[in-house]
Amino acid sequence: MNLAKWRRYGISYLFLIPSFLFIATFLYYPVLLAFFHSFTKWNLVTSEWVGLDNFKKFFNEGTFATGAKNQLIYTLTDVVKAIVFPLIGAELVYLVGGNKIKYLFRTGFILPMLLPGVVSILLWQNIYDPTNGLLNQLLHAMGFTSTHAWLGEEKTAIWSIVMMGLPFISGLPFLIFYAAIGNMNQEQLEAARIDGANGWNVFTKMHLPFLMPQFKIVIILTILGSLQDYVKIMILTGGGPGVATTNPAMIMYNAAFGSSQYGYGSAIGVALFLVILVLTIFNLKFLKTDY
Amino acid sequence: MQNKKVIAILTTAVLSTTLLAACGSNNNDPNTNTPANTANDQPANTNNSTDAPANDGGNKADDTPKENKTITFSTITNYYTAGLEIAAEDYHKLHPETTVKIDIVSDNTTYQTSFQAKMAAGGDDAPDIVHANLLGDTPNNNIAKGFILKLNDFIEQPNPYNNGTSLKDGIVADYWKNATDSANEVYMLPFDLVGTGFFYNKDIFSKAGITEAPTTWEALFDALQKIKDAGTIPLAMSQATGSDYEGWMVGAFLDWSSRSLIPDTWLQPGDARDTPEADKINSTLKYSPDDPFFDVGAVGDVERQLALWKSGKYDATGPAEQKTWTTLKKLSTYLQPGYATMKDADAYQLFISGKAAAYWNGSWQVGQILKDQKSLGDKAFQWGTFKFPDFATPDPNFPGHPRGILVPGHQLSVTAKKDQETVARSKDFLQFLYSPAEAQKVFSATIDAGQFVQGPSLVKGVTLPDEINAYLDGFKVAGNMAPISLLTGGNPAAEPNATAEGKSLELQYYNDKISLDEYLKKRAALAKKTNEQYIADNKYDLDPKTNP
Repeated sequence: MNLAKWRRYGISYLFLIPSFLFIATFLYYPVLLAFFHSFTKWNLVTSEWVGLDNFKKFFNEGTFATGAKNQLIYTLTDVVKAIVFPLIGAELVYLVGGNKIKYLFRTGFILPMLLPGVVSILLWQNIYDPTNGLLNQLLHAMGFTSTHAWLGEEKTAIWSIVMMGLPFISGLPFLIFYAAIGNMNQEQLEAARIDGANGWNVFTKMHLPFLMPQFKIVIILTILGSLQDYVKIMILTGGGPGVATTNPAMIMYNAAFGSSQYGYGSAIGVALFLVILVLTIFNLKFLKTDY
Repeated sequence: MQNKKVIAILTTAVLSTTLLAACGSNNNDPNTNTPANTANDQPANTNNSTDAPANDGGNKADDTPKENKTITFSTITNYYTAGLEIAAEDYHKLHPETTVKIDIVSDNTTYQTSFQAKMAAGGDDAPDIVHANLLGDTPNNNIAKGFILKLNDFIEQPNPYNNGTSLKDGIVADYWKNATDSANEVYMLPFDLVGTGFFYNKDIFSKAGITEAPTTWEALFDALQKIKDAGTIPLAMSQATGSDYEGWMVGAFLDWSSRSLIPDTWLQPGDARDTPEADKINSTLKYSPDDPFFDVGAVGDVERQLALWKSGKYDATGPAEQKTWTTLKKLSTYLQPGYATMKDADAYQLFISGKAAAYWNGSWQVGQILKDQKSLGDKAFQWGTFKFPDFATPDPNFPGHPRGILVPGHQLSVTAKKDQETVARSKDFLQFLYSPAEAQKVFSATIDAGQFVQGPSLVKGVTLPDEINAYLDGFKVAGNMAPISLLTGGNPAAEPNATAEGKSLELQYYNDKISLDEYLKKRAALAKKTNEQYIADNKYDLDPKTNP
């Protein structure tokens, strides 16, 4: 960098450096360390080089197939939940008349973002409680006699986790879609209507193509979150009954913090990172947009 | 100008003097300037044998003020924390130069990880007094790594807070065997005894026509059926991953049916890892079906356990296992809905709210139940405890009586710190804590706070109320179990998620998706997979005479 540039941007760099140092120390360094430890048998005290053994062990693990299948269910449903329902919500709020009503609905959909995630999970745990839960009580009131342990039965446990958060209008995707719809060129929309386009035509031919960049970012963020998420599984079922609801992140947690096999846990983390990387590249490459 | 210079010089001189005084102020700290009696570890009041060390505190001529120090006692949430805080305050009154910090850790995993990591980093930040059973490694290894101290000499020393009675004589003698490792080194001080058992709601039992606590599995099933017929959840027990309380039952059954094989797993003369100390211990022990304490202190060997598994001497699909799992499957039909993922806290809620008639847990829960009963007011109920039952008809596959967990619960060790003064003060605090009067205070304060009185005290001279003793009696099983779990359950350490996989098979059997035969075969196959992985990982050849 020459002196002129340094004079122009020096202050900016100076302000950026502390943040970058923090990120490098607390994010990049541990990640690099995890890469190294994924090739070792490491229990925090001793470390022994084992090559690719940890990766082989992960793919041969008895729970791997179940975990991978479950992850597929979680990720696909998470993507659907993050796209379809917030989009419907955003379209509906956009369509309702009156700014006050719009504001009211908008606030209503965004407010749950303020609730800590764990509180929401615990709330759903109570809803699913077989003895005192709202869901069973509701079904009994409707005349159904059977009592289900929603989170304790193999058939229902994973779908109970998937259905958590109904009606799935999560704040961030809703805001992204709503803001994008609000920024659309109103003249073009008006022209389309004059030309005879009905609501469905406008939605499919104009809104959806326009929202492609938003879909891309929401899909990437959702896949990322879904692959990393084990908290709700741990709180609701602990991966059970048996291994019915486990996923790779949960397997990683059990390896690292349940059995102090940190090298093995790191290897699972690295494998997850690679999967996320591939999916993100795939998403960026094949979900093409003009932006 | 001249005046200004003089003022500046004077000001600088005053400031410098002040700074120098501040630098040296440690030596003048009123807290450090300890009275002579404190420096000698001897308070003025010598009439009370507990409050004051009985000896003269060593060198009376040593009037050097002691440096202020904080020693850290690391414990787990609710484990005597209220009582320990009182003991820490009492100790500080006696020794103002020493502050005992009761550091409360939320869970066992954090406790283990934190201790191992801090010690690996040099140990300066590690706590000074720790729970030996929560350190994440065997006592032998922790001593070998220099993480905790051998206490052999320490327990023989006169305890100044107990009229000179040593810790060895001040603690119930039966449980010192539990406090030694395989090299016959004392690594911890036992404080209390813990056990597992059933809690039951006497009101619900009596409404169902059951007046006596069940002592056999047959009587238990009869009682649970009557309660189920009356529309109440018969038994609350968690089987969630990481909170699987059925594991203690599985262990008790396996211990019962394979107890005669336990000596095969002990180190024997000529073994590569045998030591004179281990020989000395093991040579005095012998299996007897009538002596449930026959194996206390025995020095075992994992390779011998694996060799025993490989020998097939114990049939993992045989009659004993069939009876175990038939019994446990029947028990599962009386459990609360959702037991497979319900955490223990929720299972306990069912019991304390009167929705479940019985609850399986351990003696450490007694304090919590007493507290909750008080807050229930009019809704409080009569309750009692009973042991893991026998079979009504003696079965040759299950000789003697069942054992369960019956070991010292609060096992305190001293961290091997570089600073010898810290170590000395930690030991002194332990002597204070194990004096009858202070230990009594700890128990009483813990009961009052509704925390875990884990079981009967092992400190001689401590008495608990009759009511508490009656509850704790239900946990005094025949002896402490030592199930050779890799005979049937394999070695989860080889594959972290194998436990969940095993649980999945078990639930398939309980839900009639697979037969008993299929279940036992699949379980044995899983055990084989993890055992062989473990053998390969550790390069065992299954010949104890050679060292891998």
